[in-house]
This record gives sequence, structure tokens and C-alpha cells, in this order.
Amino acid sequence: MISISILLLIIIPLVVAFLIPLLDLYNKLLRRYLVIIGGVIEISISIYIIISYFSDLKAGKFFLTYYLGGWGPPFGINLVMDSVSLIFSSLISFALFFIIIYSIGFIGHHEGKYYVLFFLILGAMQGAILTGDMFNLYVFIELLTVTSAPLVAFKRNKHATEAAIKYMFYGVIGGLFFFVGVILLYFNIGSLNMAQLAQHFAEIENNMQLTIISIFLIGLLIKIGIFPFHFWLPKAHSACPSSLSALLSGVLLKVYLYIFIRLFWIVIGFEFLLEFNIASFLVYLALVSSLFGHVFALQASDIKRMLAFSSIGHIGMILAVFLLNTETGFYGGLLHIISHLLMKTGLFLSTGYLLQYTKSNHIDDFAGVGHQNKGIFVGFILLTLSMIGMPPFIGFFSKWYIIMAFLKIQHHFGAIVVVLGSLSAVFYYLRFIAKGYEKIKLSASDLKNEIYNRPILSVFYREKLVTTVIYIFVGMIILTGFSFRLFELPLQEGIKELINPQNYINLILGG
Amino acid sequence: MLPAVTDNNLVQIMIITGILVTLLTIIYAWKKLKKNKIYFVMLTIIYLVSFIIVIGTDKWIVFLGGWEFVTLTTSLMFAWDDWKLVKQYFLIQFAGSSILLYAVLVIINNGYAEVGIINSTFLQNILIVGLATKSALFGFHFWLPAIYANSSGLVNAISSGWVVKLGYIILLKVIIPEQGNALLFYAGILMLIYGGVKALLEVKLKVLMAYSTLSQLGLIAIGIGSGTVYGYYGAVLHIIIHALTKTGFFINLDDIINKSGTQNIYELAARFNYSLFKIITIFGFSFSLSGVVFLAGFNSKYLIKNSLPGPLLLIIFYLGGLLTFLYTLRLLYWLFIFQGKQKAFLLRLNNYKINFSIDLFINIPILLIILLLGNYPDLLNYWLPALDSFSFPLGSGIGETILYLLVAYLILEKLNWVRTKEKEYLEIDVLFNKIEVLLNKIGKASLKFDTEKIVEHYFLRGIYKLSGKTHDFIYRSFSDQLSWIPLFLALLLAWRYLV
Repeated sequence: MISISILLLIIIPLVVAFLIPLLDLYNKLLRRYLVIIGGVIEISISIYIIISYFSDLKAGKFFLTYYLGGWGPPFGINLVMDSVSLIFSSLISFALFFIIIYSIGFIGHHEGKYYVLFFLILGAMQGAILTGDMFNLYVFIELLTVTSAPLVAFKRNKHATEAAIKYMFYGVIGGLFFFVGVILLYFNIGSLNMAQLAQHFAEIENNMQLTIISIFLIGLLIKIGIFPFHFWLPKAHSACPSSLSALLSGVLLKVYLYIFIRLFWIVIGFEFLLEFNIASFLVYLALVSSLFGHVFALQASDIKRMLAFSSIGHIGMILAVFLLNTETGFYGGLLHIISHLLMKTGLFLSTGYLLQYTKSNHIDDFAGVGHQNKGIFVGFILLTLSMIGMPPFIGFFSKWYIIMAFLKIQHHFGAIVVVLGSLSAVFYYLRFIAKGYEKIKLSASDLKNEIYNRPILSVFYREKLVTTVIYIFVGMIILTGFSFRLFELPLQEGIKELINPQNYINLILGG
Repeated sequence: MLPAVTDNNLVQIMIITGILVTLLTIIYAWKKLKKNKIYFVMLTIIYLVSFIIVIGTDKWIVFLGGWEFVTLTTSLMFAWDDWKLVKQYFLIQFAGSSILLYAVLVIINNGYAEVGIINSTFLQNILIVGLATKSALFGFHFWLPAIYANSSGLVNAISSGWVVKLGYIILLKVIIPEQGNALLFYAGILMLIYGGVKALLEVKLKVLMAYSTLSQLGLIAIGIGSGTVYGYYGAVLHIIIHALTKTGFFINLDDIINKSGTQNIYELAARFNYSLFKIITIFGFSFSLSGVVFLAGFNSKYLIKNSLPGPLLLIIFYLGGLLTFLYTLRLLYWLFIFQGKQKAFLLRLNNYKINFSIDLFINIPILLIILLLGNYPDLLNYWLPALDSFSFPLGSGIGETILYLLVAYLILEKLNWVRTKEKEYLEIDVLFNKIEVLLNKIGKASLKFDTEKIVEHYFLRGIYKLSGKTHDFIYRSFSDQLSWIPLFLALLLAWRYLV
């Protein structure tokens, strides 16, 4: 079914990004209204798509396309939304809407630049998810890197600049590998349309197939932050403002996961990973990466760095469970993507609030925050409980299905890694929770420091906005925990598409 | 042969007991707690609902979810004592939950989609290992004395009285009564003897009670693992009786400890002015747990004894029984009788004061129940069918009790009522101390331990240091980090030739 709404999902954020500087020339105060309107329109389009095509989704026929300029494949660029991309696209619209609201209360300076880059990221994310063209995908990936790197350096200190350079460096290398992969695909198949590539990939010569797969793998593993390519991630995710950490760790990593899934299940086909014996190797790599993520999180004394390491742990786990290529694996993986998005975004946002006046994100600065901000700290604890997999939060159910997926195929190592991961998570979260409830006595110099570190602009004059967003995320992890079956329909449809990629090819190319 | 207890009946009787026990603790909590008592009560109610869900459900996911809630709520109850205990207890219990989660998922993947009878001994054993930490099974019981020593009797009453039984109730649902489980059976025997010996030598009141709990849990494990319906009946009955008496015990002891300001059993007698009713209550609870005739404990122990297969095991069981009498009599002696002169006990009997909230609402109901169940076991006939058809031999029971008391008295007299030195550290501390001494030889300074230091210093810091070292090993220079990329590409390209 052709629908312009999927194009709007990409266009609206890009338009907002370009309008912000223009509006700033007229009146800077209007900027905030514009970003809220942009966010509302974006989330409304997602809701509109879900409501108007719900019957198609129920019947297992949900598939939206849009041909740019009216040119169909193989000549033109097409946008595609199937059940998998619906899940990811809606999640992004939802999460980013709330991060925007949070940012209004949180970002106190250079707001104009911040929102321009923020909306460019939103547009690029939607584009990367919805495009049906490989080169277009590459462009969006590069756009993501180029727009997010300045935001990593947003704090303009040595630490942030260093992190941004490293982030940029890795991002460009990853993008370069992806680009080489796209070129190789084009020279071997003669098309950039994903469906056509999927149809003809099997015809490529064997060694070339392996080369293409390896190059794409390196590119994407760098982007996802899998060991041994994760070195950029903790630095980048901890250096930027919390709203952006939430975006990078909570949302952007999932976009790259989506690209990984799209590429290796739909375009290339999972059977080739099996043929070259790479699949099982990747499972172990992802699991080792997950283990390292949790181990590193244990030693991290900077809370945001700890959360970033924890993300490495969770993303590794999700990737591994996907690579099992089983129905339960997909279910657990997709559910954990949803849960991790909610939990990690919430955690970063609450951390940003809790550490509003402190010098750094060090654990020592965390002392006593539980007494100062009782409600938010309880929210923080609930989010961490969900992260370690306590019921009734959604984290428990996704962990359940992930372990189940490993055990169903007797992959005990995988299951043990997941269990150890959540066990080590108890240790590293409890460390911070205990610190948060420490009673502190401030010395005169501490007080001086604290006062000097208060932002010159009263950042939290819109405090209610910030706290409300955090509470919404806390509420969501509880609500989705009780009703995770609500996701059953899109998840099951998504799984069907991953199991049967031929369906995608047929719907695009006909046949 | 007694007919088996149906799943429904088991759940019903356990829920009734659970509600009763929780009600007793709520009464005591309301009296004892000075601040935030309403939160404690709310927490207790959430805990009770979760408990009921755990034993009532046939869905594994709900079962585990409910249990995590039990863990969370009971952990939070320690907050009224010390936040550090919350942390320690939660860490231990969550570690147990993780093993349990793993065990349950293995069971599900072997075709047992619902909580119920598991035919495979292997899977039963996996579940037992999964439950081990939470149910303080032998070898995994290390946390029980360590945590109990530092927490208040109120939380101990909830934990020892009911929470720790949860695993055994689940095992009752899972293990076939006629088949039993050898692992559980022998673990039970070890717990019975080990717990008994440790309780006999202990000086700290709450630690003594913790070991007594371990010993009594051993009895329950023997009953379930024995593979006879008698054992099964005995286990069910003993869970109920132990839950009631241990809850009452801990509540009363907490009252005594709070008022006397010591946990040392040798000092308690001189510091606390016992009322006659308090003495009767503690005697009643102690004797019921020991299995004195006419009290409920006798019936459950008699049933469990009947389930034992050979004479050797019977002898071991009698030895376990004797140990129970030994540590009970010793405790009573030091609590009530000894005060430097033997007359002290008689002097105490003229204090007729009654503590309304504890004596009236907690002690009298429990005493009544253990007396009623001791003399009219058929009261439970609805849930444990045909219990009345089984005659408990009162004659030999009286003889046995007298013999036990006599032998125990003689041994204790001979051993001077086992006056041991108060250990500065618990056994877990001693173990860590030994490791430390060993490490000292390599060249480090000596450190003294308490439970806090074990968790904080050795366990947690050890983990953090190890992870730090791993981090430093992998995080080297930027060029080293980048060199992974070509290396990895080469590896991927060559992968199919390598495997």
C-alpha cells in the first residue's frame, strides 16, 4: 500500500531542523513551541499509521511503501514500512518526543544548535529505518554520525571534545566500511534497491559474498558497539548531556541494531551467515561483548559511563539472541529492544536530573542524591530494578524470553551470560543506590563548589517538565510490564517477516 | 496407607497458615515499630499476596515473578533494621533468584510448561539446586545465621517463619510423594545434624535460632525426599507447625532481647524479668519443636520418622531428635534456670504479668493451635485426608519423650550445660578469616572481619578490582584499539578456513 505518511516521518523532523534557525532570527522564544509541535506531529503520524492500518496489521498484511518522485524500483528510491520497521519507527517517535520535552527543561544554553542537530538525528533515524535503498541508508547513517558527533561535544570541555573526536573517528570508519560494502554490492548486482539485492545476492561469487558480509559486519559492529569495537561508546555516551546520552544509548543503538537485522536477514539473508559459519562465531562474540560490558560496568565509577557499559552488555545480549535465528530468539530480542529503550532512556534522564548540580558524574558526587530528590530517586531505583530483571517490570519478561530462547536450543553459555549479566547488574546498581542514600555533610568548600556549579541560567525553572518525563518512563516500564502482551501482534508479525524474507522481496518487486 | 494430599488442599492449608503467621507478625510490628509502621504493614500485605500467588499459580512465569516480589518486599523489611542488611539480603536472594530462573527455564524447555509434578529426578535436582539458596539448603545456608544475627526478630520471624519455607512448599508440589528425591533426603539429614550441632554450641540467641531453623528445615526436607506418603504428610504438618512456633519464638525472643539489650544466652537470665506466662510460652514452643508428646511437633516428627527406610537412617534420625532436645534444654536452662544460683527459676514463677499484645494475640493462639493439633490431628482432616485414621502412639510417645529428656539432661549435666565461648565471628567469617590468613602469608596485613566487611571488602571490592583489571587490560592505547579492526576483518575473511 502506498502511503505518504511514511515520507512525512522523515520530512517533518528535517523541516523542523531547517526552520529553527529561521525562526530564531524572528523570535527565539518561539523555538520551543516549534520543537514541541514537531515532536507532536511526528508522534501523531506514528499513531495515525497504527490506527488506520491496524486491520492490515491484524490480518498480517501490513506493508506501506512510498516511491520518491514516483520512480519505482529498481530505478527510484523507495521507502518501506513493514511490521519490524513499524515497531522501531513508532518507538523512536515516542521516545524522542519525550526526550524533546525533557530537553526543554534541561538544556539551558545553545538550545538552537541543539534542536537543529536533534531533529536532524530524528530525521536520519527515521530515514535509516524506512528506506528501501542501500545508498540512501548509507547517507542516513553518515548523517547520523555527522549530526550526533557535535552533540557529543556539546559540553565543550576537554573530555567531551576528546569523546566526540573518538566517536567521529570510529563513526567515519564504520561508515566507510559500510560504504565499501554498498559499492561492492552495486558492482556485483547492479542495483541499490534492497529487495533486488536480496533477490540476487545468492548469484554473487562465493568469496565476494564473504568479503561483502565481512565488510558490512565490521561497519555495523563498530556502530553497534560490540567488543572489540566498543571503545568509543562509553566515552561518547558519558560525555554529552543526559538527554543526548538517553538518545544515543537508549535509541540510536537500536537503530543500528535494526539496520543489522534488515541487512543480514532481509538483504543478505541469514543463510549466508550460516553457510560461512559466521553466525555461531558472532553469537559468541556478542555474548563475550555482553559479558565484558557488564564486567566493565562493575568498575566504572562514573555513573553515565557505567550506564553506557551496561548498554554494551544489553546490546550484546540482544544481538546474540537475534543471531540464534529462532522465533523465541526474535521475540525475546525485540521485546528487550523495547524494554531496554524505555529503561535506559529513563535511567539516563533521571541521572541527568539527579546530578543536576554536581561537579561530575562520579560516584562520590552521587552521595546523598536520594535524600535530595526522593521521588526521582525512587524512580531511578525502579528503573534499575527493571534493568536487573525484577517483575513486574518489563525487563523481567524480556529477560525471561531471552534466556528461554537460549535454553530452547540448549545454548547454556548464552543463558548463563544473561543470568550473570543481570547478577552483575545488581552489584553495580546497588553500589550507586547505596551511595545515593548516604548521608552527607557538606563542608564550606563543598557548598562553594556546589553553588559555583549551578548553571548560570536557572536550568530547572521548568523542573516539572523534566520530572514528569522521568515519571512517564518509570510508569511505562511498569505498565508495559503488566501488559507486554500488547506488543504481541506487531512482534509476531515482525517475526514472520524475519523468518520469511521472501515476502519482503515479493511485496516490493511483485511476484 | 494414607491418601495423597491434593494440590488444591495443599495450597489452601498453606495459604491459611501463611495468612495466620503474617497476621501475627503484623500485630507485633504494629506494637514494636515506632516510625513508618503503616509502610511496614503495606509491605507485609504485598509480600503475603505475592506469597499466595507463588504457591497458588501453575504458571512458571507468574511463580517466578511472585517470588521476586517476595524477595523484594522481605529485603525492604530489613530497612527498619539497617539499610546495609537490605543490600546484603537482596544480593544473596537475587543470586538465588538467578539460579532459580535458570533452573525453571531448563525445566520448561524439557516439557514441563506448568508448575506441577516433575517426573524426572534430574530436573527435580536442578530445581532443588535452584531453590537451594532461597530455601537455605545445606551448603547454601551460609546467609541464614549471618543475616539473622544482625537483624531484628520481627524480620527474622517473617523470614524464618514463612519465607524460607516457600521453596519446600514448591517441592511438595513438584516431587511425587511416593518417589521422593534422594538429593533432598540426604541434604535434609545433613541439615538436621549440622543445624543441631551448631545450635548446641551457639551463644548468640538469634544465631542459635537460625541453626535451629536449619535443623528443622532438614526435617521437612527428609519428609519430602523420603518417598513415602507418611513423610509427605509429616513435611506438610511440620511446615505448618514450625511456621507458627518459629514466628512466635522469634517475636518473643525479640521482645526479650530488646528489653535486656543482649543476645548472649548466658547473660539473658540475669537481665530479664520473665513473666510466668512468657516462661510457659517458650517452654511450649521449644517442646513442640523438639517433638514432645501431646504437642503438635510430636505428630509431624512421628510421621517423618515412619517414612524412614532403614535402621541406620532411623538411628541418625534419633540422633537428630536428641540434638534437638539437647539444644532446646540447654537454651531453656540458660534462659530461665541459671542465674548464678539454681533457685532463680522458682523465683521467676511469681511474676504473673501479662503482655496483652504479645501474650493475648500471639502466644495464646499459637499455644492453643499446637496443643489442639497435638491432641486432635484430625482437625486438619479436610486438607490432610485420613489423618485421623492414623493413630499416633501416645504411649510410646510418652516413653520416648521421657527418654529423650533424661538422656539430654544427663549429657548436658555431664557437659556442664555446654558453656561455650561467644564467637566473635560467624563461621562464614571464620572461613574468610582463614583465607585471609593464607593470603597474609603472601605478605598482606591482617584484617578482622564482620559480615559487613565480607560483603563490602572482599566480595564486592574483589569483584570491582577484577573488573577494573580486565578493563585496564583491554583498554590500552587508541592505536591498539583501532588495530582490532583490520585484525578482525582478516579473521572474518579467513574464518571459514579456520573452522
